[in-house]
Amino acid sequence: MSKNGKRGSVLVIGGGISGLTAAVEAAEAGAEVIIVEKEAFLGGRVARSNLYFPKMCPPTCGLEINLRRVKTNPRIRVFTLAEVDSISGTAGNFKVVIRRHPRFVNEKCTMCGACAQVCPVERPNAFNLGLDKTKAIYLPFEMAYPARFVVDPATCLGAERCGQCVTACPYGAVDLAMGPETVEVEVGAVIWATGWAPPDAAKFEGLGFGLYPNVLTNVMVERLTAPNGPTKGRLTRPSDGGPIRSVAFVQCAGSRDENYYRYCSGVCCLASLKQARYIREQYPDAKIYVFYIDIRAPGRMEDFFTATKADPHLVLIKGKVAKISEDTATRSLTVEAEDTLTGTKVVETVDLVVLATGMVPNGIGKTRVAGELVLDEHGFLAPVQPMQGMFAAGVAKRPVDVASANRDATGAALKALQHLSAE
Amino acid sequence: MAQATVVRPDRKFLEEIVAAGGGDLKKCFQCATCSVVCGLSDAGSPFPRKEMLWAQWGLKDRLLSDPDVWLCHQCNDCSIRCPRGARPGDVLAAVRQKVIQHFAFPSAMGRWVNSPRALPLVLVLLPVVLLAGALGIRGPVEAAVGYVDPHGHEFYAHFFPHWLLIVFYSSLTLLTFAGLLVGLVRFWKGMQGMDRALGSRTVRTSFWTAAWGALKEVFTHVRFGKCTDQAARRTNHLLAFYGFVALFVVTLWATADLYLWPHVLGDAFPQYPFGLLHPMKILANLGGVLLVVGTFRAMMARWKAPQDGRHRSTSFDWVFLWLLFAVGVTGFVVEIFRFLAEARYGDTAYASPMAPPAYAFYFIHLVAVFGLLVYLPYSKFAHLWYRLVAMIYAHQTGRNDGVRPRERTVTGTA
Repeated sequence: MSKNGKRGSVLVIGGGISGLTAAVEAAEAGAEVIIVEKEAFLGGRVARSNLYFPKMCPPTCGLEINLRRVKTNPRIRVFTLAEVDSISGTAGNFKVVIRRHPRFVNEKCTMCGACAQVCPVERPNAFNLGLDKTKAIYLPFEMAYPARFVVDPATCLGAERCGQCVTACPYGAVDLAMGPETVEVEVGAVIWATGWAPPDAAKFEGLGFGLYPNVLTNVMVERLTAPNGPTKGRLTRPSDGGPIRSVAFVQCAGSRDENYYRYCSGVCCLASLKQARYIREQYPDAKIYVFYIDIRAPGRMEDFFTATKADPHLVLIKGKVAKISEDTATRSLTVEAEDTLTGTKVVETVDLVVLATGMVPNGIGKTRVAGELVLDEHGFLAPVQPMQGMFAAGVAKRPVDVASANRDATGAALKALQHLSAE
Repeated sequence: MAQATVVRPDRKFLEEIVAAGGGDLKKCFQCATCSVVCGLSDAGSPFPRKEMLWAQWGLKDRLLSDPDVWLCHQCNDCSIRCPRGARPGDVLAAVRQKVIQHFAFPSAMGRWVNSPRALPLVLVLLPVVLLAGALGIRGPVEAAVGYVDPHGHEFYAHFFPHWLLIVFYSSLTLLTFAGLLVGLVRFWKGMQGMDRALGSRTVRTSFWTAAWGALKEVFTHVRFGKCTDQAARRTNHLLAFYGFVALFVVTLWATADLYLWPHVLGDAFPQYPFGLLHPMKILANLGGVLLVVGTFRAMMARWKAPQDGRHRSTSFDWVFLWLLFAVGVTGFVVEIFRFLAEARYGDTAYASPMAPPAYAFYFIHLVAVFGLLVYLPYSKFAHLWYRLVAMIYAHQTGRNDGVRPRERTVTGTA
């Protein structure tokens, strides 16, 4: 057990865009920062996106800058594959227990990939939402930081039964004997940047996710259109790899719905409009239907909405899709809604359906906290916490887009700093 | 030129719908999930989304003249999937109640019969007084016209003679049916008028073709069968429906048997009271069982429904169910009394000690029948007729074939 870190530093839980921003802002203001990320890499959900709206630039734009600031700042320490086990104490003097899971690959790794070539087993690629596979020893994605391979202990056969990667590695970087480790640190303030996960769309009645291969979720479409995704960015019909001649976006899938998630995630409208542009770029003649209750494009997003709407083959239909059925022969999908502006039913048969699912707060309950952590009615962290020195940033607090998450994280960093200086 | 649209909300009507079981209607945010998940909703004029909007806006005229409200069987498939808990199925049930009350003739009856405070008066006091009055004038009338009742020594006819029964109920029922007819004609004209005003009326078939189509649906309950979540309600409704039809047929036959067939068919009549194996008695007992079982199951379903959140019931529903159930159960009690009394005392059963309790139950039975038949146009029983008329209208205007022309939804009656 190592005992490092010092009083007056900031713990950031979560290494996604909010956590990274909070960490670099606090560190650049002079604080010591510890980032705890449960995945093997930094970047979280943003790393899995294809393009940002409304600028339509790749997420590496913001992510790369932040990662470089993390790498070059000696005051930031990063624990990947790590979770915060418990937090006790009070503001200015929190005691934090961090559980680190073994990576099985040390810092000698050069990402040459010799290990993966000999690895005999495969695992579903979590980074690509299970849309393709990697070997049991893999690089999470090419931009990954830390830039190192990692072993999935759930799939790896182990040193005794296999161990081929150990011998294949020319640098002696693979160490299958690594064990878990517990780290105790003392910090002055905690920033919860635990972010979100997509909901399980299979539970949304009538929408056919999990039953029909051509029903995708918006997060899957991000991976299927990303140049580093499983299809190298080419979006096709999952059932047969055929072209997309028509697509229906189903807004509010499981959102604003008291049977599932009561709240509006605030970004899915823009995400669908953005994805409509992906499809238009690949398929100039594809018919795009967007079924919505209300299009929520606030502020400057109005321009993006107006510009996207000008597409002559894009049809906006005010009415929620409540029924999707599949033609078992062609695997085409029939979506049904009522166009509430004309008062008639709309039935469209399309090649692909994209469910615009929202954001579900993620991983907040995993940490034991000696004190009260207040959640709102939807499971997000309340903006004001009764425990001094505890702050939420980004989607951990409420569903927001990347730009808002960054602004929020900057504010959270300032709040955390105030607690340090008050000491 | 854009045309100005004036929406005149009727707040009072809105509040009435809320009070009648549509209390969640303001939660609706018009996503139209309901119209899609409804198995009965027609493609050209889907419901209940538009009705939810009209109800929120208090567009009374629209709702009163809307046949689609009556194509709903309150299976609540919509309410279960509703993302807002606005319970469209229960709102439409409340609207139907208001439609029956609105078209009630005389209109005071519509208010009075459905006022919870007036219930003891309506369901007990009035029928008791009228039935007792009828019994009171029986002797003087018979004496005045010199009538000797040939059925005077039959068990129940001794207490309440056939002729009195028929005169009493026929006259009252005819009166109320006249009232019902007025209401139905107004309802029909309302539907026609609204469609004309919106320019959306299309007559596709003759009235009689439409009526035949609607009747087929009524007798097969085929539309009710499209409900998915509460499929058992169709079974309950079928049982009670056919039970009632069977009993109604037997009542007509029994009346004819006493006063018509003897003149037409001769000496073999009357056969009343029927023996246990008489075809009409078998039909009657079968109908009674169907009615009691159907209503009991329906009551249990409504009783349990608040717990699983699937159904909302109001006194409008409960009074009707209890009346049906009471008619069925007291009918059987009365029948059993008669068989027991006649088995023990033979032809003098009417003078036996079993007669007073039997007559007491018979009186209760008659009170329940009064509640059911005389208040028909004003109680939930009227749904049978309003629904039939609306279904005929729907057939006539092609609602069921899904090709009805588009209707503008957000125009009020300016």
